[in-house]
Amino acid sequence: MVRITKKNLVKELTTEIISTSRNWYLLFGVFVLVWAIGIYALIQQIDKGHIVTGMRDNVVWGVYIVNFIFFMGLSYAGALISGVLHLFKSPWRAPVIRFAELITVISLCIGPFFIFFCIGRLDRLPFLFAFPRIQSPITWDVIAIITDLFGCFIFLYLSLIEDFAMLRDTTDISIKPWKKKLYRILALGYVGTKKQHRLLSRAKNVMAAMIIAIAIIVYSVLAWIFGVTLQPGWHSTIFGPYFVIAAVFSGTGLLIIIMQLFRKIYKLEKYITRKHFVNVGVLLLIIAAFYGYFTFSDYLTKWYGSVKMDKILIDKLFEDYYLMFIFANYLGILIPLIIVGIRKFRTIRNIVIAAVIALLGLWFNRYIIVVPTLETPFLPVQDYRMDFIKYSPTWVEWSLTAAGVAIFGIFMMLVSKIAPLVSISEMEVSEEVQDQ
Amino acid sequence: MLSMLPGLLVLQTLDAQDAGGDEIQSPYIEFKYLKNTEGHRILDAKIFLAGELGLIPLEGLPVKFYTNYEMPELLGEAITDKNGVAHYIIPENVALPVDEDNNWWFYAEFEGNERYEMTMEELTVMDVNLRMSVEENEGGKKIFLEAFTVIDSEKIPVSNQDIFVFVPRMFSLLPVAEGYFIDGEAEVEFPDDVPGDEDGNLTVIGRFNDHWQFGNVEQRAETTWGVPSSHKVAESHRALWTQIAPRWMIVTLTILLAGVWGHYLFAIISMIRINRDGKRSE
Repeated sequence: MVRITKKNLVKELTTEIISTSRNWYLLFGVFVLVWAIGIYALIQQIDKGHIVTGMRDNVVWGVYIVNFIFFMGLSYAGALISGVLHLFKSPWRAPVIRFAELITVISLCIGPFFIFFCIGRLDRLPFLFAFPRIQSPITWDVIAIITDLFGCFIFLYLSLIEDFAMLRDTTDISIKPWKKKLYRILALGYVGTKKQHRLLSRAKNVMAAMIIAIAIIVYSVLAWIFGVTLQPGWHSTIFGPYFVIAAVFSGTGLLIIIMQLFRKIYKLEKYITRKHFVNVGVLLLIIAAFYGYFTFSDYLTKWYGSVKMDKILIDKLFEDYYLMFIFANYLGILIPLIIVGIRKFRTIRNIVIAAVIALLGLWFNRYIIVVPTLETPFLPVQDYRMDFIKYSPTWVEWSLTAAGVAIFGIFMMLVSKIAPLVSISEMEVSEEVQDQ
Repeated sequence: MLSMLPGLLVLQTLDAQDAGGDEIQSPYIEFKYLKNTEGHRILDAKIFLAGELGLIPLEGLPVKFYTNYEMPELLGEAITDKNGVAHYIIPENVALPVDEDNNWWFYAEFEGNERYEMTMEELTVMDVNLRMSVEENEGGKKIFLEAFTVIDSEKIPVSNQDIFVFVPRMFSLLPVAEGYFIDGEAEVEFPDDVPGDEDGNLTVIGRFNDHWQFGNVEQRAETTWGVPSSHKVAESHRALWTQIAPRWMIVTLTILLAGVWGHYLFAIISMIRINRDGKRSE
């Protein structure tokens, strides 16, 4: 048994804080480039208007709203996973929990920007705050997102306090003076007294419970924006729990991908092992089964009900969106189930592949929830031009989508320069350290 | 695997529908006779398919109606409506031949086409005259019925036969009371608890219903015997468009938000206390 000392922990988990590797610069550069293309696309959109997007009179929600739902889902999944791992004191949580917390906050910061891209009259945005209508689900969403953002920030910050204190006090590594000063402020004078420890643990427990509840409520609210709307395919009572399950599914997928990405870049192989991938993979498997069940239940009841517009919508899904539908609702669920379900397939590489498929499948699932419904209005489409009848995203929308992914990466990498991506304090108390 | 099922089911149904389009199908016919309050004699022939999804009425099919068993004579023709019913009123001036038992014989036939096979049905009925009067007194609400047949100009009262009293409801006639004919007369007590419209108006129907000998023969009377009931639905405004949100929504949201932000406050206070304790420790 190799025992990892605190000194080693601090050294090995803070490499990116004390120095910057070439890989870091390379990856950061790629992300910045993609982000810059996104900014150029945004300038085009502001300059020429929404005509540069694929959105028209009927399909007024396109890829932007898909991305909004997707990122918000990732965020809520991160909150749920980190909250549950913390509350249940899972022995293997230490190397994973910080990633989940970061996914929560970063996705939550990015998601709402896609709403801004989608709105034609941004100047009217302050009206949402100046003249809120409590009875509008959009107002619920605004309140919910702000509440969630605060909660997740507080939870993340609470979980970082011990690490900040450790980095403030450590003499094992050389940290730049400005960072030391920053840690002194951020650590809030935490020195690990019994009282401080008790206060911190209690606050973390309370916030962990809160963010689980908030994540469920907030994502349900987002689902209700669809559910309370009389549109084919949307007006469904199952949408709240369905969205929550789907969010956790995508978030678990992203967690696996992020674990692998940063494990490689930051050389965390010793801390993030196959066991962690299998454990998170099993979580993915369970959620995939639930998600598959919900998907089946949603479409079966719609199909069986034979409501005219629902029937037209389902026919459209099986004709115009056949490949996307199959990928999102069949392969995106079955492949993760098979890969993680069969023991001999459970390698790190395979689990990551399953996670990528799950994540992409979920994005397409969001796409086929939003777009085909809007292409199937109750009143016939009045404009005969093809782009009014059928939505296709333009390079502007794809660029901003890619920019969203890039900014996620940029935030993750910037955070890694200030805070360890694997929680040192959690690792210290974890039985994992002893076992290894 | 579960998620594959909806797709398979849809494809399977589409296949079944395609296959069904080429075959000649065998419809069924349901043939009924009705003599209504005005004394009109009506023949109804309903044509339908019986499938796994239930009975599917067939619209637009011509049905021919005949009488005279010995030497069938065409009475007339009618086209089935969207409910699959071909509705034919026998003109009053038509003298219908009777058999040795004093029965009329009717025959309905759909001759078939390229999609559906021929189908037919026959029935025999004896003409009966039904009269009805309603009376309300201290003894309650009473319906008096009289029924007789006429054979060789002789009036013969109906005996030992059941008669039912119905009220019309949304989809069908609801039986509410039953009587029995003795020497051509029956007395039926009408129940007190049958809902009517908001003024208590109620149509009462005395009827031989699918009777083996008389078919359907009915008499209707308008009464005020119903229990007045209001079917007005309170107008409900969609909360989304109102000026002010419903109170329950404001209360729920306030409680939820206060609960959540209260916990945030607790966490923030904990952080302040950590900071204070740290300063004290220094």
